[in-house]
Amino acid sequence: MVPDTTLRLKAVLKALDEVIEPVIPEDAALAREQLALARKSIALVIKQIPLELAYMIRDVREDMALARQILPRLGPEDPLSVRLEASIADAEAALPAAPPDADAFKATWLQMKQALQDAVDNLFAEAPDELWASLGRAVIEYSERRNLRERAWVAATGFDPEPGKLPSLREAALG
Amino acid sequence: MVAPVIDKQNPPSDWIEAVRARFPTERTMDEALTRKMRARSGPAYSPTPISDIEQRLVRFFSEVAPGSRVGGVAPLGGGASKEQFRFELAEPGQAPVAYVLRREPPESVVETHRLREYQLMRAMQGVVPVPDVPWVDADGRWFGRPALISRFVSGVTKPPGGSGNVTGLGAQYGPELQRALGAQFTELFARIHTFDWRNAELDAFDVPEARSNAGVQATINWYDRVWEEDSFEPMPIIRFAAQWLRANAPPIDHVSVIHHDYRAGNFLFDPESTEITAVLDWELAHLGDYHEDLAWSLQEGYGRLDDQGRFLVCGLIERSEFLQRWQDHTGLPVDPAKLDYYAVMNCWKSTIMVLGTAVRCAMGGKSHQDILLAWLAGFGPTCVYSLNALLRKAIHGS
Repeated sequence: MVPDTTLRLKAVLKALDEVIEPVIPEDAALAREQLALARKSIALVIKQIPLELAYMIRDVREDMALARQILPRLGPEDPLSVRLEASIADAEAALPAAPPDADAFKATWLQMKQALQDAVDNLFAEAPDELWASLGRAVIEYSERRNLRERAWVAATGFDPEPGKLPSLREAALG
Repeated sequence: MVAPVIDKQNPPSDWIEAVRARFPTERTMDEALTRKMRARSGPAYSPTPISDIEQRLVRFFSEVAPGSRVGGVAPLGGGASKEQFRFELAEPGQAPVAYVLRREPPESVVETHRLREYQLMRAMQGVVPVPDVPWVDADGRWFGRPALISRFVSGVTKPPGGSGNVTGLGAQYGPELQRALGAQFTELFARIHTFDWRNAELDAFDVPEARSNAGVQATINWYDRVWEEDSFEPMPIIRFAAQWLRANAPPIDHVSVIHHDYRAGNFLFDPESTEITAVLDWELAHLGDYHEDLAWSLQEGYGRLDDQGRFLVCGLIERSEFLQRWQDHTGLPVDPAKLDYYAVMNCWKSTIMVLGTAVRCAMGGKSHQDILLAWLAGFGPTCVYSLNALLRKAIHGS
């Protein structure tokens, strides 16, 4: 999934800074103001994206704590009590054990792929026919499954010859 | 034990040397790639003011063409790989002539060597239409980074008002242009492959041994090295393909000049006369097996299906007619097995360029086209899709 979302945005920021900004006339006040806001918004989002899910998880934990304090004050038949209890149960079920650290996970993700790539490289150097036929098939099938996700992930770039046959972004990410 | 992670954005010198030793390739390509790696931790790209480019041109021409005048310096559109500036040069007693300065950004989607491009374009003068290249600054002494200067050639890369994009992918020519350009496109290609390079000044190129696959192995090492140096996200299929290519490399029976990016978007034509006025983008050229070049032009991504469902090579000429015409012009045989082999190799190389180098370049903010390179990476999964299918067919038959 290279380039990742933040890298794409950094490239956009660079184009705005180096190509677009210099050609906007000095007296085009509104365009200059909008460009400045666009740049600041993108710079902000670049920092937020890796932390967005962790932020929401932390937030919902705080919500649950307050909800537990409020519950005893509501009557058991109160519809708000029922709603609050159901919300706590749903949040409990959805919460991961710890807030994900996107940077740490990315390091693990890369480490796994590097180890896999090195193992394939080593195994198939002067490999016998049997290995190409057996494990070779597994490597290609792995790459095909992965490729379907990748194609869906970047379908909006317009390069894919069969975009209609791809899963949605959501299906590609969540299965 | 977990292997130490190399920070490829700040590569240690012993790692650079280890990669060079692991992937031996052509001398000048080794030079270009090593220069790239040694400069990687340096500054990102920042636009050069036109006044600076103009001053550099004036200084350069005061040395190589004393008394000449430089004017009209302006950036030129296109050029996903190199920065391009148009300017006019008036040599003493002569009318101004338009030229193009083509300069390397700190890094680009393909790392190549200006001396190779210069020598080959000069060698091809009179063989096929190419812009005249009078000057090269191979080590960047004059222009801050390596550059070459060619004569400006008029013409267009795509039909006026037609579709397609900056890379030339998806260019659509109408039936008249197909007829006019398809035949020329094929004949010029044949002339490149039958050119007698032995008498040309091409000392920047290593000559592959005929009837051996050593030259093919050197090409595999070139791109495998690029993957090692540039990739951010490891992909087992890239190394799997590399090992398959090594194990199945065919000998080169006839050593030809290989353009290596001969397709729509890389030639200029006059829309009035429909004559091809220049073959462009020689930077990836090398000496090798003409099947490598044929397979490159035959790639699905560069062509399209016509109304009758026939595949048009580069949107110009039907596949079987293209191959027949090429054989008629060259007198050389086309080996389908070699076409299949180079189809795998070319798909693998394209994947490395767009998912390895283009991404790395954008990560370092190293070029004038980072946003385009990040966008082009979207072509990578399409390349991998084809690579998977070609490997499956080659290894398992389907």
